[in-house]
Amino acid sequence: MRSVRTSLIALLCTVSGVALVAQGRNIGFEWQTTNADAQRTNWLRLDPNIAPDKITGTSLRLLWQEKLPVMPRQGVSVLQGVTANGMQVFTPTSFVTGVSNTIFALDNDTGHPNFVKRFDTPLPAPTAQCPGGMTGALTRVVNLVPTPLALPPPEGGPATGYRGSLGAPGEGVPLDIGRRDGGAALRGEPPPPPRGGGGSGSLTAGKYNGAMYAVTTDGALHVLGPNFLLEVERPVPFLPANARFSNLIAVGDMLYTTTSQGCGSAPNSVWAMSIAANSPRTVLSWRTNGGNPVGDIAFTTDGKLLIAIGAGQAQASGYANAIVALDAKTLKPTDWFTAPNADFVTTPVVFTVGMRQLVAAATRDGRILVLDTASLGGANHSTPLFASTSLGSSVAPEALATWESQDTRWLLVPNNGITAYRVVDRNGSVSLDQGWTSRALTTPTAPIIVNGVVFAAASGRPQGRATLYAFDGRTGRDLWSSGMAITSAVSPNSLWANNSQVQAATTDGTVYAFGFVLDRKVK
Amino acid sequence: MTAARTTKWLVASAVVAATVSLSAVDYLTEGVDNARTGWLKNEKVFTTTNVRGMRLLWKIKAESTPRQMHNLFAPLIKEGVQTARGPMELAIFAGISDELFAYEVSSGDLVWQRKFDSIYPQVTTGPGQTLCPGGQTAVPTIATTPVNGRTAMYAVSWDGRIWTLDVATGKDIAPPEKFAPPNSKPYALNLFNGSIYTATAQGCGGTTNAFVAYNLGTKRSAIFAPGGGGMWGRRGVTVDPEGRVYLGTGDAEFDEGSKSLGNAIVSVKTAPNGELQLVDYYAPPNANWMWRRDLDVNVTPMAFDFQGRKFLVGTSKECRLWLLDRDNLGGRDHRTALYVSPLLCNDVQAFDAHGVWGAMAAWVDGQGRQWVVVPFYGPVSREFHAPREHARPTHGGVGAYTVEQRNGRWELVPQWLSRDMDMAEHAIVANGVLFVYGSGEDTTQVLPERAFDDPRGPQLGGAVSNGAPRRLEGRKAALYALDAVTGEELWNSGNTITTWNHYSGLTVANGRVFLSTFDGTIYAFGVQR
Repeated sequence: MRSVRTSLIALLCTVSGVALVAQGRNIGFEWQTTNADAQRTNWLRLDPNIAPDKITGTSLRLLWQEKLPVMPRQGVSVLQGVTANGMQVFTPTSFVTGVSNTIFALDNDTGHPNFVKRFDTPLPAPTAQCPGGMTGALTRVVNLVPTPLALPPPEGGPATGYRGSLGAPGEGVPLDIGRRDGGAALRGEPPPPPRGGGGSGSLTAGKYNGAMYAVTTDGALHVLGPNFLLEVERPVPFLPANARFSNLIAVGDMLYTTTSQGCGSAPNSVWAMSIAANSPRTVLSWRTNGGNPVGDIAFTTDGKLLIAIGAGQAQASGYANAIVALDAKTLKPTDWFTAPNADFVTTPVVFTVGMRQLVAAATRDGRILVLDTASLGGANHSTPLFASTSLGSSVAPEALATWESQDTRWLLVPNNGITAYRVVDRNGSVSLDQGWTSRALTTPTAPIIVNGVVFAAASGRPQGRATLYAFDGRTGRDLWSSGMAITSAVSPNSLWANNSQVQAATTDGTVYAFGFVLDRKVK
Repeated sequence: MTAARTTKWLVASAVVAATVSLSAVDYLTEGVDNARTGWLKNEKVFTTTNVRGMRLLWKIKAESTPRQMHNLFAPLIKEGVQTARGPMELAIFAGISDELFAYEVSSGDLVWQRKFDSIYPQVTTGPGQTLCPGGQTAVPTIATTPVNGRTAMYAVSWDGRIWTLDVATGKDIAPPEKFAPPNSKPYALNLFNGSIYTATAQGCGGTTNAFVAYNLGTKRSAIFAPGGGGMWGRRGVTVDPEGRVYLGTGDAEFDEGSKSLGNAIVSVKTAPNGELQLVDYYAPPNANWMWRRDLDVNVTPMAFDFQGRKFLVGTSKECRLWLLDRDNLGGRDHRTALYVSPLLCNDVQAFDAHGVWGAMAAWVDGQGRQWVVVPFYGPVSREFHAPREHARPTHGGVGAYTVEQRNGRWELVPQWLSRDMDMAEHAIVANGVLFVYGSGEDTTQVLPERAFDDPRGPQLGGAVSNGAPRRLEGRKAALYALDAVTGEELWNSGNTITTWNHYSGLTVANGRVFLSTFDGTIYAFGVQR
């Protein structure tokens, strides 16, 4: 396989006048599961380099592109990546699921697929409803509550730079320079206090030491070591074969996904399995007995599992046009919202406003419904906190996104572009106030946010070429675009970010990485 | 035998001995010369023809004590040493445990050995660890002029003292003197113009990574700390004919504003007052990215003059070459080389088991072409292509370049690529023969993953691996002789060498090649003389 790789040699660093951070061994933060976190916010809260005031028209560059050897299935080749820093000690890595039963570990600095895991599992003939293959991206274990991110503190003083000295005859090199303790240990003295400055602390929340979890076409769960993609556990049955399953998520000791569309004769269900060490790999499931689960599972920070369900004929104890809360351990329903016209089309996205934790999702008729996760539909299970007017049929059935600036909670909707709403709580009454609307984007992707910068693509689907844009998250102002760099369409929900980069996966199996050149240039 | 015939035989032997002596070479310093070119210019015994018949002459197990993954270093060779048993050609090995062993080269007989004591027992103790093994880590160097009428060798012991030893006996010619900080892991010593130069490395023993120099006349020690990491080039520092001292720094930030010269090639020089002063530096444009990936500038650079230009060639774990002008290392911005090569290896940009770790060679062939020879670990890069490729190595190999001027700029032009070798290390060129060895070492530093069906049980990998598992996973070293112009393999040691080595070296002189392994075995290969 010959990769198409943009030469870093040709790049010029054009960020003079803007101080960029390349501090310590690590250079940013991870995208730990699809849609960033268990709340599915699509928000990478902090980045040392990407910020609205640091992006100009030419500051972000195509760093690399890598065409992965994947046979597309129904117009999709690879799914959204999940990242981990510090693989093989120093390698920031994107784990990318290829739909034809392949996992790639891409070096995020070079795009090189350092490791590839191919599963020898038969693939069914694809249909639009049942594309077959790995329909859900792999995951790593994530915290229920995202770990707070922080940049290292400012340096305490000037770092000790180059210096020299000359010793007295017969005395050896001067130990005030020759030894970091100034020779204290040799004299039997306590060491001097450490000098200030020169800090180079890690920017990551911590190196991931766990496994990666993936499901193949035959429904087996595979547990992979993240450093070399070896299977560190024997595969176990999890889902029915040839099911259409959603992006996996692992929280605590449990792994979750959903099945929909009746593919492989799998019922519309939520599935779970304990992944704790030495625990039996017992499969739990909960059937909707009604509509298809939509998008991915989301979690409230207090541990409720939320699933959006689309239209359908709900049987007894069944659900359709609903958002249902399940107990994360037993998968028993604990709450729900349902309304006749609430044909949900997006993953629920969970966020906090004031003292309340809310969940929002879009419906097929273009409305955004906002619910209180403490009481999803109120007393009658049918009353949302807020329901917007219809935005028309142009709301993309991908994913919403949410982020919080200092004073505002934003909800972003892909709708002919990106529409950003302010989520406002006025004395308990929640509303979505119009914020800003981006330039028009044809068939927009789900947006993601990196440290106050919104990235979204005009996807180019079905067979055009995509353009990735960056917007100021508070104003929608254009900051940057990828121009003609991307030569094919971006797949649905296929943006992710990490380490001052944004990646996009296209329908032909190419992963593009954009970011600051920083010190990557060679010549 | 009649008296007349005896006389004739003795005369003939004397003539042969004199001829051999006249044409004999010494190997007095690691890397052959001050500039660390690895080019044994005056070697006359080896040829590309006779090396095909090279064989094992002897092997001896030294009474040396390993520490961590180290044991013996590359020997120094001195012929015509006046010992108590008469004139001998000696091979002198430094051992990690503060030991020295001198062997007669033709027989492998031990002539003398000694072990240093320590004036800093409080820090010259303990087992050490893989990167900081403790002990004696610097290959000594032998003076070209006598000291007190004796052939002198300088060595630095674990406690940092510099020793002046009689090559014939191993005894002190002069009392040892304080020099480097104790337990500081200095690298191969370089004697130039009355001073011993080396560098202390990797913060071992709490030491600052620095150039250090000892003036043999004044007994004053100078230090220059570049503010970077590393400084662990296998052949120590390079000294050019102008007295400028060069070495790469390792992992630390490169930031001129804060005077931090991490991941750079730094040049210093002894000032008239004895201080080491900064002369110049070059940092690759991606120096800080190299730092993030732990791709130290870990290889001793080489200095050579060619067509009126003063060149320096450097490389690193990243596995590309920088061709620099010694009079203007990095141009105005200190970031601009004369030429930066594509990758030779390490497409994955791994910090372990890939890249250049050993030592290069630079030599001029009979047609006046300047060559640069680079042994490397791991697979050859997709970016490297040569007109003559004997293989596409996957475990390691050698890439050879010529230095040429094309379209007004100097370039390193690939010429050949060797066969596959298991972790190719040092290169020495002698009379058109390139000697290189594969260490067979387990150079991985990342704990491997094991699958669920591994007989040893599953294991999540990724943590840093230390010496203990690497000692178990080492393979076998192998020595190779290649045609230095074509890369054709002329000879290899096959399975003769039974184990691996780590951070050792190779010595060639007078038709013999010396290599040692972790278990303390010394192998002497050679051709009929």
